[in-house]
Amino acid sequence: MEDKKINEKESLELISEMLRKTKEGAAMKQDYNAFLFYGYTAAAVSLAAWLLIHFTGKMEFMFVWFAMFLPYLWTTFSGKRKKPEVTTYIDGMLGNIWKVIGSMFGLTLIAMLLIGIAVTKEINFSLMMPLAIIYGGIGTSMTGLVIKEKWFVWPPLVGLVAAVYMLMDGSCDNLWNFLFGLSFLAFMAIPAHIVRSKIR
Amino acid sequence: MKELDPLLHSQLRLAIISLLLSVEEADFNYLKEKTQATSGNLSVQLDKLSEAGYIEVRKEIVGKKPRTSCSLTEKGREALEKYVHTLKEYLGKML
Repeated sequence: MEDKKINEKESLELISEMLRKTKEGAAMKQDYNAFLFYGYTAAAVSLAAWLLIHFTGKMEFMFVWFAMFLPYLWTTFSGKRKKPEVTTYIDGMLGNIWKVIGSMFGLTLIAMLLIGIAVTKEINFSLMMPLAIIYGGIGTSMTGLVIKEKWFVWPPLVGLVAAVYMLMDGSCDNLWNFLFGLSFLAFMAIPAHIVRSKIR
Repeated sequence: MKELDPLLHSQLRLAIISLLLSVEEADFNYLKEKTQATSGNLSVQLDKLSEAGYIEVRKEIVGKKPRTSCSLTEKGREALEKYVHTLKEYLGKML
């Protein structure tokens, strides 16, 4: 393409062609890797926690859940090393949705820590599991609504059922690990595979 | 009848503005690939659009590599709207 004058009809055709090109590019570039990454990490960590607690009987092995910060660190640092060639308005909106969800995770952890130190005199992160399922589910559903993809909109209901069970049950036991991993597989990893296969 | 904006009435500049219309931000390589322009020519046209306030050009270092990214400004968006409106008037008269 050069810096040459064009007639009126060519101008309108050029505008349409460029708009079409950006639309096509946006549809092709989504890979939903982050959903796979978080989904499988949650499943692997839940399996590890479940096995460790099952065979040792020690609930202290719940600390392995802090490994869920690894995908967050990886996505944050890889994002700083390499920026995408193009950011659509939808990308920007989705980025902001997940920033809010991420902040909710962080603020909930801080709140639990402060309440544990100042009020209950015992730091207990067990409620983080159902809340993480709810937060992750809200983010996934909102992503589905923005990109108009039902496979991301509805599966988080599976997680919601698991989270409500945990909240009603109240006593954190090894079953929670199993439910957590299963929920993330159901509303993040599996839908991401389905949506990726539809794009290709 | 109004005159067509001379800054936009050029193939490459119009293509750049049209590409930036539907994205929040695009980098130099993306614009180069979509317009099939040479780096030199693209740089010159980006400077012209930036000087006119139609686009915002940001230069940064990402992963030790320089990155130039562009986004459409409100002035650029309004200019394209006016341009398309005038084009339609022209074409309406011709038909």
